[in-house]
Amino acid sequence: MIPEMELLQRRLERERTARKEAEAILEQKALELYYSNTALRQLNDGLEVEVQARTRALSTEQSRLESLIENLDSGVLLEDENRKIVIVNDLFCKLFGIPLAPELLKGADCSQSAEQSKHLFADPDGFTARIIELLSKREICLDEILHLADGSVFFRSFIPVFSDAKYMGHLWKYTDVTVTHHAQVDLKHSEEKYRGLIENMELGLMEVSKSGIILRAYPRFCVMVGYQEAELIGQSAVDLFLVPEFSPVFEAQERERATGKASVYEVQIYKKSGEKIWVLISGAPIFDSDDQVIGSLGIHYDITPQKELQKELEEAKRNAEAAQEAEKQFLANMSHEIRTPLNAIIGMSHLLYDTQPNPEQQEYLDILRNSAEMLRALITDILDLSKIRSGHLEVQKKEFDLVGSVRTMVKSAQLRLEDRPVKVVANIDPHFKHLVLGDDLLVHQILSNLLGNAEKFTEKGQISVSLSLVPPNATGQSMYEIRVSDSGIGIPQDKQEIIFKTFRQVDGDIKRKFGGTGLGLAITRQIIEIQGGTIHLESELGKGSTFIVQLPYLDSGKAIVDATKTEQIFRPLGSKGKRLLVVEDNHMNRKYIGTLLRKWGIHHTFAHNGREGWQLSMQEPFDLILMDIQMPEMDGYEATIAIRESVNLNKDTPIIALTASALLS
Amino acid sequence: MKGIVFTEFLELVESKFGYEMVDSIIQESHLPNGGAYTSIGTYPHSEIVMLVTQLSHKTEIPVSELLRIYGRHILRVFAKSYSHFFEGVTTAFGLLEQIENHIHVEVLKLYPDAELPRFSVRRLDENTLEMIYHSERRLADFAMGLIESTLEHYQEKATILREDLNPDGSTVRFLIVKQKAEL
Repeated sequence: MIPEMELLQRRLERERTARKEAEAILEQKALELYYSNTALRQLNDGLEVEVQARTRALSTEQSRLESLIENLDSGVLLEDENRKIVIVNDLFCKLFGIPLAPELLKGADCSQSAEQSKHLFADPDGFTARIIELLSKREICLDEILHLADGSVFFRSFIPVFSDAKYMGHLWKYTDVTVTHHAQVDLKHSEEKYRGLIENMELGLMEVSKSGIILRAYPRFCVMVGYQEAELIGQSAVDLFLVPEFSPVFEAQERERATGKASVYEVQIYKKSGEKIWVLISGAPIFDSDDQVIGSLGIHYDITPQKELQKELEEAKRNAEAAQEAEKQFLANMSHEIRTPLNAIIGMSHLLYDTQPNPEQQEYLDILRNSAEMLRALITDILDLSKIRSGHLEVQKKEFDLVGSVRTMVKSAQLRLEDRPVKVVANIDPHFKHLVLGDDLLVHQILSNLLGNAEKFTEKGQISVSLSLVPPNATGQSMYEIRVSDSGIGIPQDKQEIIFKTFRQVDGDIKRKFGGTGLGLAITRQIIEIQGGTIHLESELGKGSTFIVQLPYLDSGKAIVDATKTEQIFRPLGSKGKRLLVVEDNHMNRKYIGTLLRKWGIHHTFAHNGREGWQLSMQEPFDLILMDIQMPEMDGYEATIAIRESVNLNKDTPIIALTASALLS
Repeated sequence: MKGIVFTEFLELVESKFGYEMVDSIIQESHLPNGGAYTSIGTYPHSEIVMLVTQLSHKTEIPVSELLRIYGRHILRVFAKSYSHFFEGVTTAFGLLEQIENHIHVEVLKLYPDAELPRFSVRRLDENTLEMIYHSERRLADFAMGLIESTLEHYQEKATILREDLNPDGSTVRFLIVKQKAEL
């Protein structure tokens, strides 16, 4: 048995130990609590700062959002799930004629708003019905078109707002698109109008994609090709219409179109019936809003009738050209065939003068010679005229010495008029130093005609030829002026125009007295006009005439070569003992030439055609070859080429063409 | 092990057998702290085992019976001291279901170093609750007492079937079948 005291002592000891331990634990816990508190306070402080920062950020964000909504170019209304206004902007109030500031509307109930504003819309009941539908469906709906009673047009969007699948309200957005909408409508009308116009102009329109698939075919085009539009849509245009021979044309056009270029071309296409038609296609690329080519629009015009007409015209033109060529050939032959015997007549009549004819025979010979020369002049003039009329006269543009040409012609006239009391003078502006660009042969013909005319009508007195430069006219062109004056019988005022017409002379007496074909001045005028020049006449009866010719030559800028050097080139053949080869197929010509050459004591050999001439030229050197042009076997051109091009004794011998072929230049 | 287990145990021994018995089992157990326990302290589990063993020895009541009695006792202490855990809970099953997911969670907040047994609780039907106890301390008898006392607290009657799921008694299945009222 444990004594009571001892037990109590031990109990007390245990209690005290336990108490101390408990106190130590409590102290420890108190300390822990203190630290925890401190940490908590710090955490709290930190949290407060963070909460404040977040609150500020939220407030900034909200005012930014409000400002954004306020400044939108659409009217915006945000309602909560109970249809109370969360936010609304000023524009919304204006669009709906609400006379309150947006901030005053926050929290207002919207359940009656559709009913209140429906009168603004063209279809009020439709407006409210649609609002109810949108609210019950709660699906996004963007840019619905609404027509207002006053003609305005709005776009409306409805956007339901969900948070974690919970419906939080919705947003209405109304945008006034009246201006753009009307512009679009106008544009569409205008497009339709022009499309209609083009359709009415018998132009068939077709739209194809980039890969050539038909997207749309307009009625006129369908009529043109004989298809229904439904048969065309989705088909390849090339497969349906392309006539194989036009493949390259189509491919070239495809490439053009891909680069965004428009173009016009003519091709044949197949109709549904298999028949081919000619169409003129104006193709233009179609662009999307990014300027990318998405296809092309072809405007087709049926040109089959025109093409047929064109074909007929081409045929007619070919026939006409062939006829003209035949006529030309005929004239050339005529020229040769008529002039050859004529030359013989003239030549022979010249030879007859050397046979000591008696005075009566002399008189007959004069008549014979004059008539033959007149006939030759007439033929020459007629041939010239037909050459001009048929457009076969070609105007050369080469450098030549105009001054020299005038002097030469004046010199020739002086020689011809040596035995008449007529003085021939040249007045040439000493400033002419350059060669001109023009046709020297035509100038020669003009001067020859005008001088011949002056000589004919001037019994005595003076003929003068002057050359001067007329200052530039309105077109800036300098004109070279040639005046041929005579002191002859003159031409009455009322006849001055007639003389330039064909086969016309002042009167019958003139013809009887002075002869002539009446073609010279007409030809002269035409030759001048072909070169862009003019001719006119100043004349007084009994006092003389002046023909004034102006020609638009260009200054070549090159100096005129010293005339003395030119003269050396053309020094006369001269002395006897020279050897000549005469290549001539015509018997009469051979006889005439032979007689003359014998008379002049010149040794000569005859060849009867080009081939014989060429063969003779290889056997013997000659000093000169006279070559006819039109000959059988080998003509004069071929023979000349053969002599020049081959190894030949006469490779460098001068060859002169003798021909009656006046038309072959 | 939390000090309250020791202090309440010694209080119970004192009330049943007098402080002499308390002193005796402390002395016989040769405890390092001389048997000075405070409810807010934490002590080795082995000490309670020694104290219970000594008490069993002295009283000739089996350890398992002592632990069961102690379990019954301590629930009443809990109901008084930690009444907030009982608030709003109207049935024994309700309280038992809260042990693992609510009461133990709260205990660990106050005493992070507490070593608590684990309970898997499953209600098989309206009147049947399965509780699987698991603890290295092997105090299933103590748990048995607690369950019995809980039923008493709610004035419910039930049959408790105990089944050891392993030989060392660390995992034990309790099947609590409530008796239908007024059979």
